[in-house]
Amino acid sequence: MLVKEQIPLIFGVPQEDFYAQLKAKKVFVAELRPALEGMKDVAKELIGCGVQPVVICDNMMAFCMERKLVSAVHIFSQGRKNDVALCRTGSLIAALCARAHRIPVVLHEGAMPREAKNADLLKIGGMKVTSSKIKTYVPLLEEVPMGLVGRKAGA
Amino acid sequence: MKESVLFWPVHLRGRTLYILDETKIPQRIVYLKVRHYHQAIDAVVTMKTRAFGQFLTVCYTFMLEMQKAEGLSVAAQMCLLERVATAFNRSRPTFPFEEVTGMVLGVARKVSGSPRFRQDFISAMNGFLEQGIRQKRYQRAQEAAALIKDGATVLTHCNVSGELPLVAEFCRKAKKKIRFLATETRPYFQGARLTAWELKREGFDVTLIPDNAAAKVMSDGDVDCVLVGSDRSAANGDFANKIGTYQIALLARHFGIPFYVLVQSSDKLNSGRQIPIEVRRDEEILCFAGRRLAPEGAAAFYPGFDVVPHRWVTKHIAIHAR
Repeated sequence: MLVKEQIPLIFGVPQEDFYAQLKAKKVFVAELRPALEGMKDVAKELIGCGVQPVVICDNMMAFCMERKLVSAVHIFSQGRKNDVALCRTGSLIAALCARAHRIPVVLHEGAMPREAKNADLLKIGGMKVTSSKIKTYVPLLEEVPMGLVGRKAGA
Repeated sequence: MKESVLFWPVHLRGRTLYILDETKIPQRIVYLKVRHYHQAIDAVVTMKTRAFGQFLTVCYTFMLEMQKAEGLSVAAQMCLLERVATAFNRSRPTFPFEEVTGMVLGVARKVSGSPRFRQDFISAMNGFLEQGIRQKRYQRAQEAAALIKDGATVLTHCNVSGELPLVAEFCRKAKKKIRFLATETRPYFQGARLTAWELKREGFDVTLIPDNAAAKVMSDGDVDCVLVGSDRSAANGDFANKIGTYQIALLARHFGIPFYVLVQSSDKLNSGRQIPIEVRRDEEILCFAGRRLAPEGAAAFYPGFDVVPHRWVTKHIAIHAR
């Protein structure tokens, strides 16, 4: 789908109340490898709320921002400690790229992402992608400095 | 040195072109048998071959068609080459097909006055590929290896057509121990299927990570440098590569990590802004192996490439093709 207008980008797994607050009719949804919670769960919730999800791969966020297609970035935390929020891995990319492109980042409380084992990276949707002998590293969560976040809660 | 099967993925034997079907790796190493330029173009459009494989496919397809053109006049042979060039130029937008086909047509024009036009063209192209390209890729890999310190971890994205195992081999010969982090490179998984596979196959230390873990490994101090390839470059040093490279370059800049790129120099475009970005079909993200992964009603946006500004590149490691 060609996207020409600015729309919000969702990176992470929101809690249920997030969807009800969403005003946009179309949003980018990062797919969230390896479990694909974005492409599957978040997209399904959005469709149920009448919002058109436009799925992008996790490596496409900065491109969409650079092309001025993203109005705001929504990330989701599993908790906060001092000056950092604990978020689904990839949220730090979303936040840093947003800052570089002067796009607001909104932090919400999130649902827990699906647990992913290292070996899950060798598959997609249960189908084998590459050799099972390859070493993998799949960190589930990472710290996002609160300094990168412009606003907390409220979609 | 032993070459990865991806280093030279296209071969011309007699009147048949053998193109490595990169979509079948790592399950199988299969070559498509191509006897007509239309089949070669189909291999490009369906991404059975990509990156350097596309370059070789173009060069060898011209040679294949000339092998078959026995008995035609020089004018008819030149017409045929022009037809092949036009067809390639229309195949995919981001890779610089016009530059490559223009260069090959230039070789043809140079020898078109020869009474042995066909043979001289094929011989000139063979010389260009072996001395002009293969040797220069070795030199480029050696230059890249010299930049990597002993004990370093190198983050890479997508696949550099068999050149990373060569870089690693040069490091090994220099008694430098290095390891790689390879991003999986959605949606086609070139990092998972090609890069991690070929490095592991050649006995090098490689760990596969999701694309979304790039900042995590950088912020944890696990990356000493980034090394990527490129599909097209501009005169000012901007370059296009597989989607996701821009994001990694931005992160490397933020974390103060050197960012190296293997490029083919070109002065045809002034800046990366002029590089057209291919947008591919939604299904290539939403489905895998013919099976839909996303719920019905979900759409997708799939830009195939992005452009990294020259100011974010620590060093361009270049081949000057001509």
